[in-house]
Amino acid sequence: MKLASSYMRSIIVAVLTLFLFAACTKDEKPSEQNLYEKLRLVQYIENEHHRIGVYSRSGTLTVGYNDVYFQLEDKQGNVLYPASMSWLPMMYMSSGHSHSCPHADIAIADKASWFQAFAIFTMASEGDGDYWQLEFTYVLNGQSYQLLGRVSVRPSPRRTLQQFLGADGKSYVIALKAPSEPIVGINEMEVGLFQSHMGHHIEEVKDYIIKIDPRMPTMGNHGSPNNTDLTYHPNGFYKGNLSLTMTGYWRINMVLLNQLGETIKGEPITEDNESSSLYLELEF
Amino acid sequence: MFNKYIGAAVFMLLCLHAIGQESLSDTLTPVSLDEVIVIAPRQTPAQKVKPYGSVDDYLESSGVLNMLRRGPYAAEPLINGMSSERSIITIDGMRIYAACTDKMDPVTSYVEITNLSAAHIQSGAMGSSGASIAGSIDLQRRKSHFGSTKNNFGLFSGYESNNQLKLLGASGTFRRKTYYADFDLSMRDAENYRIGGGAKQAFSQYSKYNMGATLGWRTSSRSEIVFSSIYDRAVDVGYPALPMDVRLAEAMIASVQYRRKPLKENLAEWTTKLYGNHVRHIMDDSQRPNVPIRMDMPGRSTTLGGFSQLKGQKNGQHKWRLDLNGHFNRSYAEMTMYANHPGEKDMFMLTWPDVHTYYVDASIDDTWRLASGMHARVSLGLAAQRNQVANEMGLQSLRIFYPEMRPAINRLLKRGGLTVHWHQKIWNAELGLSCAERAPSVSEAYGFYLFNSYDGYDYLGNPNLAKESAVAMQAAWKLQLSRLSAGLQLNQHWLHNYIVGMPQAHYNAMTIGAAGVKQYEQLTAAQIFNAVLQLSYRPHRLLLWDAQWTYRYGDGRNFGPLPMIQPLSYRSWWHGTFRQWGLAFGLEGAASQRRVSIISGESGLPAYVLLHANAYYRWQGSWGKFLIKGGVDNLSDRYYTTFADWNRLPRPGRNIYLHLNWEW
Repeated sequence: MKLASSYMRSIIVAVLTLFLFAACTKDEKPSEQNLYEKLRLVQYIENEHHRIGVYSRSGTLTVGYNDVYFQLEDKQGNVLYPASMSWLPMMYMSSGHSHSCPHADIAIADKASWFQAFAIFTMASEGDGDYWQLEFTYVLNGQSYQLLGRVSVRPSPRRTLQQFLGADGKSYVIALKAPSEPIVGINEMEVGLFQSHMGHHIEEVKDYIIKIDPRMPTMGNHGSPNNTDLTYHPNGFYKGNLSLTMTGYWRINMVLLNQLGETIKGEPITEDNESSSLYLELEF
Repeated sequence: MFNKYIGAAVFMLLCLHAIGQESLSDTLTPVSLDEVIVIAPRQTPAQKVKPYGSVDDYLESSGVLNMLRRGPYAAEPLINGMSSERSIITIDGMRIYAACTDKMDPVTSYVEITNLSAAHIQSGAMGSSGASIAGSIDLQRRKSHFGSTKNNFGLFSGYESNNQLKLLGASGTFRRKTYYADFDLSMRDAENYRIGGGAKQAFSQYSKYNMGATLGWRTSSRSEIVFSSIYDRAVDVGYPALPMDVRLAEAMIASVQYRRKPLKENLAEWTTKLYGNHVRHIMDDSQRPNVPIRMDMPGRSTTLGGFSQLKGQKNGQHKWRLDLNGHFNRSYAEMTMYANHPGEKDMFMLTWPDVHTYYVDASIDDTWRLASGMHARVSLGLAAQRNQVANEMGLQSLRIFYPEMRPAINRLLKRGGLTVHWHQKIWNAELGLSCAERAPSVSEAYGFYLFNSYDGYDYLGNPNLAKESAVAMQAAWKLQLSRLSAGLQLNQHWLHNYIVGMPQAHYNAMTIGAAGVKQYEQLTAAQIFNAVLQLSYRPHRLLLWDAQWTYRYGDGRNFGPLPMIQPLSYRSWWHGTFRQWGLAFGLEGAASQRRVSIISGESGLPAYVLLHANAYYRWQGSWGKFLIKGGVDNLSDRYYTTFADWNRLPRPGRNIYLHLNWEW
């Protein structure tokens, strides 16, 4: 009889779990509001009138792709609603060089209190010598303001970005945008591919093809099936399917082909070649 | 009741002995040539080679079964030359699902001889336990019965020299008019064994503890309730043929059964049972010195179920049985690999993605008398089965390979059979035809990179597999003369949609060093033929010779020989008994095997012959009954391996053993 009741109980639990699960599924899509609530402050940058809160999901900025969020406030912390805002992330180096990095223009979100952009930081801050500075221009109540301040960009524990010279003699930057939270299964992979001219003029590279071959070097360099080539999408990034069969450290080997199908960078993985010279890393 | 078991000592060679010839000719008794292996450590047949051997040793004596060994412990029973997915093993009708993805824990490994009274082996699809292709084994619990006050106790012990196996068991029975209680306890502990020639086989140690209890309560003159439970725990079990060992294999098995008999004039018996069991299995490789990567592979399986069975008869012409049974199982197994580079995250995957199985089954079985000395048995069954992948991560993992895969699959499994039985004064024959369908096993449908160390491939489950089906034809004939008895059993299985792993060149192996990936696919046709011949001759009152020959043949269309198929094998014993003494010599061997499944990693095998000998002495005194039995296995210390040894693992060499039993 005891067994019978435990059986009944497990059925009841199972049914309840099902309901709970159904209930959860409905709420799964986080609303915009939720997204902003989850953001963590990286730091404030101030001028004599206002301050800008720089936010990210992790509360830090790291080498590679970063979604960055901003909010303009007065000195008392009241949220302000500027009519427009633009920015430029700049790296100043002790050698006297300076350069920017691939980034998006600031988009004004619905409520216009939050501003959003991305930046692909190509290197980490290094003390006071090599530093990143965010330079903002905004219009508030018809008046234009400038605001700038240093931010710290941390090195990434894994390779999320690679700068390289292509076979065509041009300089490229490739950076991993997604998956930011990889799952075991098929992930949508998204990378940004940019060309830089003398480190200043940075532009998207369109309509190349990126072949991917994810491998686990610690587990006999085995791969995974059903990955697809990454192709250019109108949002400015390359998208494709990335299969990850287990958690752990994955090296995503890549071969970059231009519009003519010529190899710009990278080699296929073979018995003798464990790794491509073009790769990004994931660990989860 | 126990007398019956003593009388059944010869069961080892001939199953028909227990069937009384007289009772057959006139009344309707459901006779079948299905095999019953009596396992009765108390009141044991002294002629049994090793009365206190393992359950595996007992099962191996059947001509229908082969015990596939990955080590000295927990052999996988193959019925009629088919792997364990194709059969069902139950304990008193209770379903248990093993918890190991690598078949290191068949259901038979979670019981001990002290728990059991018999193993009922049924070939083909005529069983009531569910949808199976090859057959079924029902392990019957040892139970006493109600009666006048009596308490019995037993104690046995043994030692085997080859692997320093120490075994110890105790049992107690308390019988009263309105209740009974049975308790048993046993343990086995073995070191590494020595192969023929004397070398030690590393990683072949094991320890096993087992406890069982049964409580019977007579609720009225016609009804009873029986509670039964088993706790089994094996630790530090080596599997020398595999790259990993087992730290823990543990099962908790419990049931409560209500039985009422007779209900009415034509309703003989009604039995209803509820049961539950939980199995935990933890593989580990921490004892292995050289592994490319350390890993843990724990698995667990929980089953809840019940059945209700009604038996009745009509006019002495029909004897029928109605069965309704159902169960729910969840099987979960995972694998964590620890990277050799410090600071790197562990690699984790689900090898069984928390598969939920819901199963309901109804079957009817009727034996009716056609004429004097002839009756027929018809059996029909229908089951509904649902498999569901309950773990989201597991589902996403499988969807890498099967993007369209749905989390749940429903199947309807049909089975049926007809047997005609003739019984005359000195002979007995049976001719049967049955067909059945089965659903793919958890590993076959949902296994994720399960490494098979025999062929060196990682195996991928395939949720799109269709049902496997089989038509089986069975013929058996038995002859019983005063000095001579003979038995011949033939069966042929034609399988459709035979499930087997096939290499997939386009996938990368996950396991370091693996040859590639195999995915479960289906052969349109496969066939398996089995033949068992048994002879027994008594030239003198004190002398008995018995022998058994077994041969199997398996072939798959566009595949070739099926794996794990027994070549011609034989076993022959001379038994001499004089008063309280007994002496026996045995010969056991197999012909060479050239017909092997190369795709499954098999290679040819040479022939071998082994010699065995044993002797016993038993006496009865005021202190109770005693048995002392000693013997030698593999007398010539021959190095050998068989078709049923994983990776051609060598078997033990010479082994001297001594078993003692005391009952009071």
